[in-house]
Amino acid sequence: MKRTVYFILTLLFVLGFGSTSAQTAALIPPQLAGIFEAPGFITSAGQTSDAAIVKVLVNTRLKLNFGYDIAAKPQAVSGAKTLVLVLGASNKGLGAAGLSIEQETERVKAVLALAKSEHMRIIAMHTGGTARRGESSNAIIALCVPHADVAIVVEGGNNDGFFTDLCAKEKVPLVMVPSIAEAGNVLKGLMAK
Amino acid sequence: MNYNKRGLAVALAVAALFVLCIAQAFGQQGSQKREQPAIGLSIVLLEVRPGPGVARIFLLSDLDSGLAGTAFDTPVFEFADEAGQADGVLHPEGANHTEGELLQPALFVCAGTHENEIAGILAAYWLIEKGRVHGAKLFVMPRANAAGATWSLQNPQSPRILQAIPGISRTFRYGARLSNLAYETVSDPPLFSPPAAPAGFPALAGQEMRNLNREYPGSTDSSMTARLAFAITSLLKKENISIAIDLHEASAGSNLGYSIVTRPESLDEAALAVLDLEETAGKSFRLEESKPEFAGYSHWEWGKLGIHAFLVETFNPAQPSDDPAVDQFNNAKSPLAERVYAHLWAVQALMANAGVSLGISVNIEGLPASVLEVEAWLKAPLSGAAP
Repeated sequence: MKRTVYFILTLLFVLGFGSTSAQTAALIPPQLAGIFEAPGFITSAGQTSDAAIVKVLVNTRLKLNFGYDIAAKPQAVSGAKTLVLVLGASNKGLGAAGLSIEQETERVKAVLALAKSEHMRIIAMHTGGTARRGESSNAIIALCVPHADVAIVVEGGNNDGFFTDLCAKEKVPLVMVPSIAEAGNVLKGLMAK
Repeated sequence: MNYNKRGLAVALAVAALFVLCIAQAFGQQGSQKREQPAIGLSIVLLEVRPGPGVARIFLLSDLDSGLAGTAFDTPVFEFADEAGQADGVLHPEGANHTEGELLQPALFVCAGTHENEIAGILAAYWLIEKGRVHGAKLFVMPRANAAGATWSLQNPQSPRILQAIPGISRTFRYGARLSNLAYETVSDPPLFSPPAAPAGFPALAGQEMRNLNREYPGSTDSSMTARLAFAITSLLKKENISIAIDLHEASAGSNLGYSIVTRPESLDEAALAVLDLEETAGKSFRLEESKPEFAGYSHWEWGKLGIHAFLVETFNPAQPSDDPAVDQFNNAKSPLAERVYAHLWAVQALMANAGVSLGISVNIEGLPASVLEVEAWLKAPLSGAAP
């Protein structure tokens, strides 16, 4: 059995996961591997500064050269083929951006509408653990995940099974990862070479 | 300077400073009615033994003589660049240098801004005993507000003492968040506004005047706490500090435990440090972007000088009441060794990533390989003779 698993993982790696490690490749739903196209764009949904971490992960570490604006308006996102929404409401972040949670929700809805109209693929990412799972965060997660093609969640943020239930209900593939770094690796594995 | 010569020089300097401080303390007895302050240097040298990385020890009163002989004076430990003279960095205008001037890189680690946030203080002690720096000079101030180490919430006359194994392990003062009112020169006002607060900034409770982390950039004409902030700012300017880190702890209620806070211009460096810390410390730090409402905070005001400045927070389970019933060493949720370990690796990660932005390669050697190593250090007796 073990040998078969190793063989399949090796085969998947050779057949197209490029530099993605076998461990990461095993996390990626096969039907989604390599189907997300550049250019990509990262914004937050809820003004969490986790978006800034995802930005340096994707651009500085993984060199994927995505656009970034934590409070992007729809016109800034236009033209992208892959939209990464970093999920989590932050009162400090909302304050810094001069937005109420209601205004932020409207911004996110407008970005989602634009993304749908331009047939973008959407990756929902949650990297903030339990700290980004309050009432406001949950509402914004519930707003975004149904529109996503995949959700990548760092394990601590799903301790209560919230993402498991939501993704099952909305039929959105859920990829659970142990760390933010691994979330980046999964994202890279989703991107077309 | 080789280590033997350096060690001798440091020992002689420390001995001289120690004698001077004790003499000052005794010399002032009888000349003032109130109890004499415990001088910061004597507090620190009873708790830590400088290691081979330390090239010089001096007092903050060297920067502002108004602190001399007060409870607010405190020692600064200077580490030489082990790699020799590192390449310079281009500084922005703002300190005592001009824009574009090439200067030797210098780093600053501040702990004990709040003397009840013990993990940062002990991380600074670890650096003083075991650290060596490559690629820049390093200045470490382990008990920034020594006047806060002279009392505790439970006892206005004295701090609590922490000891992992009673009668055996080294001891550490666990002080208070604010300066000791007994050593302030002015009373708390009804309300307090940080000196650098923007218009419309809501006033804080009057006792916040004694909160060092609301007083930057400081001044010489108000409280002693403000004067302390002024002296620290003077140190940063005089030594042309490029990267500065202030080590803190937070309570569960503050939602800041295990976070890095920084100005927008340093956010990417902090974000990269967060990623590094997942691997090196096994901790997921949160990232917070600061804003003008952080007026008076160290990192916010230091950043105005062009310094890459960061606030690091771990989670102290005894806060905010400094509950003495909480066992700092064996707390199941947040043991002290784990917090010290996280602080040390946060310093390394922030120095390294901010260094990249500055075009310098900074590395701190002597960091613990595991939390267990820190735990053993905390449990051991203080080794070596007092200077």
